[in-house]
Amino acid sequence: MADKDRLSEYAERYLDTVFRVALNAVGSYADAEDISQDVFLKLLRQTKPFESEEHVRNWLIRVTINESKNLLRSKWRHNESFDDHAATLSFDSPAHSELFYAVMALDDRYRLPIYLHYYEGYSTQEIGKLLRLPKNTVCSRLLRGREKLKEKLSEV
Amino acid sequence: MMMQQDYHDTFENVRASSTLRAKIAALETEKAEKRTPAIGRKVLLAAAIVSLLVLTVSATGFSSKLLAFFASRSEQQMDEGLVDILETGIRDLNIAHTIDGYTIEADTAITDGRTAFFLFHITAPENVNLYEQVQNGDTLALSSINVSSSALGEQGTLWTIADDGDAMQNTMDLVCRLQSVEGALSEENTVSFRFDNLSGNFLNETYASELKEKFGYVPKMIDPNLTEQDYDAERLYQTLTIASGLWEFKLNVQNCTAPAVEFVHEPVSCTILYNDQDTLIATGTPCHIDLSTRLLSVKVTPLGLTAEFDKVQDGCYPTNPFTIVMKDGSTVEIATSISVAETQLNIAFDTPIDPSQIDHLALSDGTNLYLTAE
Repeated sequence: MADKDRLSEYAERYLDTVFRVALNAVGSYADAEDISQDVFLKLLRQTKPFESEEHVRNWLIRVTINESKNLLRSKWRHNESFDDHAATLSFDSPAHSELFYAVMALDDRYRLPIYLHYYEGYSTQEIGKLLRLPKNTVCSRLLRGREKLKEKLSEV
Repeated sequence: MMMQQDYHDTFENVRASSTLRAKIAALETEKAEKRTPAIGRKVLLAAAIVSLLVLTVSATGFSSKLLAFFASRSEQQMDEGLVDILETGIRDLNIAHTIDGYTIEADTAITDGRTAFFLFHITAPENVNLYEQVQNGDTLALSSINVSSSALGEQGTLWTIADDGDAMQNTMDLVCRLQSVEGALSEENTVSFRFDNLSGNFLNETYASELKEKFGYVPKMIDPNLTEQDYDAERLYQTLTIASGLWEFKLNVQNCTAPAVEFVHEPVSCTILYNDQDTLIATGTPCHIDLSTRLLSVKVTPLGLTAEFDKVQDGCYPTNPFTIVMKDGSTVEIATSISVAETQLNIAFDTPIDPSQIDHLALSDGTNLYLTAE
């Protein structure tokens, strides 16, 4: 990174985002932590300067998605339950907890577009660029993901 | 329905742990010292017992980009049997042409003679953002690419932008899926690709501003709230040339060696759905009718399925009657289904499968076909 002293600043601002993207991409708390570390290590080694804050955010999310895909392709995954992280994962209400577990039970192809759209506020076209998917595919995944989430929540 | 606010509030509570924050803070002091990630440490510990598969893969986890593409499309992790089949079947092409700094490389391909996948890698000059250029409007403009083949036709052709594994904006992978319009397998397939200019969809900024002023937003290429009379989508999203030239490839690809698995050992009487073309043409409404026939053959390869029926009625084309049920209980997603000569059906799978892992084929009339049935 051109200015190494900005790492802590970027971590303060974007670590939660990177962690959430990774968590939604791979569905594992421990894997998401590993990916977050790797992403910030890559940021530290990044030599090209960023043009803007938006550039940094997009770069971090893109690299997180790439790292997540690499992990999903590998056979080496953490075997864990979210209950192992109950101390860190605490929610304001049972409804939020139910929603979180319902989202995590979704297939990852639906989970990540939903997160990028509903939390990060990306448009379907922007998600298409980040995930390198046609916009129509993003739209159909959002639609199916919402339907599946609705089904899961009605089962609770 | 899920409320956006609920979703936002829920994930607001999901944050990196203090342990992770401490590890990130430590990175700065390590001055980017090479770190062995936790997963990597596990790999080292288990290195003595890992399979040959892991030892032969590249840094991206797979021995070829096409294999990585299939893995990225699979809902489930590919098992080693399927990876072996694909690694054996994928052919390296490695033919590249460069015009004005734009290189298109025919990278790899796999075919069983009826369905084929070709992966192309595009490298543009460093200052070019291919993703921005080709996707700015709606979708990649691929109308300028012509595909021709003696057996593999344009029917069922699908282009997909694949993740090329790097974060570079000037490189892109494209995967083309082709499906045969003929029933017979050929030993070798020659397919020609002509990239007649590289084109992308561009937003007409001036017209976009006009429309934004008029409607309060820039309409999509297909906007459900507006009609064709409200705006000219083709003027808004113009197809323009990114790079001029003719990148031409004539590719010979041998069929993969994975044998086709036959599920029919003697003719099976069954009832299947047929598309009633006469009703479709007369009314414009699809009409399916039940017809009795005999199933003479069902062959499954990693890439697709071919079925042969008795001819039962002129002008009728079979609709896919099969559900492929794997041993783990999952079903196989069908990408395209093409009727050939009224009595044959060519089906391409969305992602390759290991035919030996099929439990049975379920027909729509309740008949089940088993691999080991005699």
